[in-house]
Amino acid sequence: MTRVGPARRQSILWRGALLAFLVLIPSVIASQFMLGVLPHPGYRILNDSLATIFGFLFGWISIGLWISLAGALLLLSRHRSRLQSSSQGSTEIRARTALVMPVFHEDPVRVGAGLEAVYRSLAATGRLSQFDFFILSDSNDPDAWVEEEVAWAALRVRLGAQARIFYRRRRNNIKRKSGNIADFCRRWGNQYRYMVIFDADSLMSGTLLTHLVELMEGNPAVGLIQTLPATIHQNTLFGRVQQFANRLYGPVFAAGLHFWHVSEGHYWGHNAIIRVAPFVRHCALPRLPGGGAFGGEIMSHDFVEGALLRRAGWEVWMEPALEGSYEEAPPTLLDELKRDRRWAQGNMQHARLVFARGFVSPHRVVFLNGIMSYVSSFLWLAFLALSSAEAILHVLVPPQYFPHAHVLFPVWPVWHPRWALVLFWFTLAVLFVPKILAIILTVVRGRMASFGGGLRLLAGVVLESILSAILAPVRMLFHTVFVVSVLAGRKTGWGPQARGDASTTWRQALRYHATGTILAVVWGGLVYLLSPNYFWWLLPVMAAWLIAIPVSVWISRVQPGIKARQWGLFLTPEEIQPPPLLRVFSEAGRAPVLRRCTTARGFLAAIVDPGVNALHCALLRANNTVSDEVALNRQQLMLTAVKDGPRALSKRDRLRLLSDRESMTALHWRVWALKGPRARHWLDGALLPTDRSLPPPSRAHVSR
Amino acid sequence: MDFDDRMQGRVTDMMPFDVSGPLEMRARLRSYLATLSFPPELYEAWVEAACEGASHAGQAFARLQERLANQLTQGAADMPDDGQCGALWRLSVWLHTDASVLTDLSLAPPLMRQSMASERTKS
Repeated sequence: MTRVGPARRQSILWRGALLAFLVLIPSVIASQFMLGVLPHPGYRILNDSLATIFGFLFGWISIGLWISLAGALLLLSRHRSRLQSSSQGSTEIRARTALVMPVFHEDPVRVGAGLEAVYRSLAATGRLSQFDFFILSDSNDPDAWVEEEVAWAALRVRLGAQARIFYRRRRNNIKRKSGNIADFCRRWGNQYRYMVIFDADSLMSGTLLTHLVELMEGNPAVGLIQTLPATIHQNTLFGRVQQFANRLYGPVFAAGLHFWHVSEGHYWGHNAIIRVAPFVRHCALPRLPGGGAFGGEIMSHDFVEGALLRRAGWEVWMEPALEGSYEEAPPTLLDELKRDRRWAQGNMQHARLVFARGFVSPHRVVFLNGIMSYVSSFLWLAFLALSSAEAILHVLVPPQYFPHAHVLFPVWPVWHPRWALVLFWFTLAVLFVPKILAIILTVVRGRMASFGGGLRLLAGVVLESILSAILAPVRMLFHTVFVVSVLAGRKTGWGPQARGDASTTWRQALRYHATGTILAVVWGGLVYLLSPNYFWWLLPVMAAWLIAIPVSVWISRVQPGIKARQWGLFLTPEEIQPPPLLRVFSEAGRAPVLRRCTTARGFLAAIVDPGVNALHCALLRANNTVSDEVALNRQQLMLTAVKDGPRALSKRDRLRLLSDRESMTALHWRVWALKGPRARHWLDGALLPTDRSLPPPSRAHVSR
Repeated sequence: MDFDDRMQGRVTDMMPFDVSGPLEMRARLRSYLATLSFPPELYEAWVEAACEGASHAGQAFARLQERLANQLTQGAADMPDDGQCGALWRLSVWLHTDASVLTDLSLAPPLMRQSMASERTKS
């Protein structure tokens, strides 16, 4: 069943055709121009390859230009969005919505503070009763598991017993995040009409959440609305620059995506509202056949889920005009690159889905776009390598002035450095127009003050552009390695996302960037020796690789970030005037954590601390039917724990114990009854007064 | 040796590790109750009652657990309840006495299972 009407479908098609025209024709022209720029007579294979690669790359960057241009025009127009809110009054809407936050080894205090802020923001709208909150944990570390439960309990204590905030942990992390959400859908999905997907660092205001529900109610054909999350809470210099760029250029780019994709838009996996029933019906992800990096579970599930929803006839919208959606970003370049390794594999995997049955063309383009995000780096490096080869060959191999017999006039080697310069400046313009558009839009809409004023805004853009120019070659080198590694079939693991104010050590920087530095010295040195004229064309890339180590360390630090903020650089609207949601979040983050009965943390607390033990056991399902074998194994584990203490238990043993309510209850009482030496394995010295022949413990022994 | 014997064997294997001296036993119980924020004037009598005639701390803790449960059942107006540790303490006592009480706590909405429909079809 197709819910998208013929008029809208036609609109999407002509937009697609127009964009294809705008991208392909200039790319072909640029490619031809490049052929003219290259030395003549040259090496035909080399020249053709260079022109073709240049055409691809030019097309790739020009997509950004057209998206931004359309976005700027859309933001200047009155009709920024086609979606209309429900005609019902907000109080009449009774649709229930689940706010789901999948977590994997996240900081539980941060998670709790985020949910508390959203909860209080929703309460202020008077529509809290329509929302339930779910923390869906996939953490498989014993300590992380227990601390998440304690943070959840603290949140319940802070918000009151009536707060409908629930915690669920999966034992098996099948299909990772997408499997986690699917598990929620199976268990509780049919109690909710909508679900809002959060990342562990997501924040959304109550006003936005209720507005999203109204939009969904008013547009029954819509299956998903993606908001544009603004990056917040960045303190490292790298993070602050990314945050500034996201806030300044992001809305223009998102508006452009809204214009070109219409109702066949992007889903980024979080900060989005989804209609649960069609999601359950159509969005279970298949396991891709085959092995290697292209087979198995779909890693970047969000694009695919959006495409599956649309394939089933439901509209998928990117709504750029909605305020109040936030997320955090990797604090350092290396953290960003680690994330990119996962994304590279996920996007490359989509190569198997580009031509899958039933997807609409815009979603095939979304897949291709994701693939090109990484393959373009490979092409760029190939372009540099081939052009260097061409330059070196022209030096080493003497020109043939008479390549054909029986000619009177020699063929002089020709190349046009001026044409090359024209092409260079034109390419730069294509890259910079989106930035200029964003500045113009900020000025026209009177939002300069939100970025610290006109001068600081301009200074921020200039400095951001310089840093981008330095980081682009570094990213390119890494992305190329990622692409090659994926093509070689190497899979990546599933690690927690780096958040907060991490910084890169010199050792880490050396480990990850040394190859680039060596490459710059060897490659750059060779070209400088053999073809000094061409060396200057390579210099921006080689210089970036050469200084990557100190730059990566320096921009990862908080101090330069704070300095920049003090100078008024890279400011964002949320920093100049923090919205209430972010103020509540900061307060919640500083709120006293739950008072614990003992100083024990993690697994140890779940055994020793009466409150944590009870809490943990309460969250476990009672398991009355276990085999004799399992029961005996658990007894054996308990015996080991009692005799030899927690250090004798492996991570797997701890998880097995933590999973069994009976074992946890029994072990709790058992360790409190243990004799001194063995008790000391578990209990803090302050809890064992008899060992020191002290009188009954006073309340001072109770850890706060 | 059947399953029950083997199980019993492992449980009794742990008993010798328990505190058994009367003074040590009392101190351990006091320590436990102090972690739960009870004032000494309240718990001294409980400690005495739990340790009276107990052969090892495991037995004394079992008695204490029962006592705490009774206190809770009777309303326990004199219990310290500071909203945080108090809430956890209640949870603790509930759990270690009668797990069915936990059904009153809204830990999660009721399960209403369904399958992701497209999982059943070949994609």
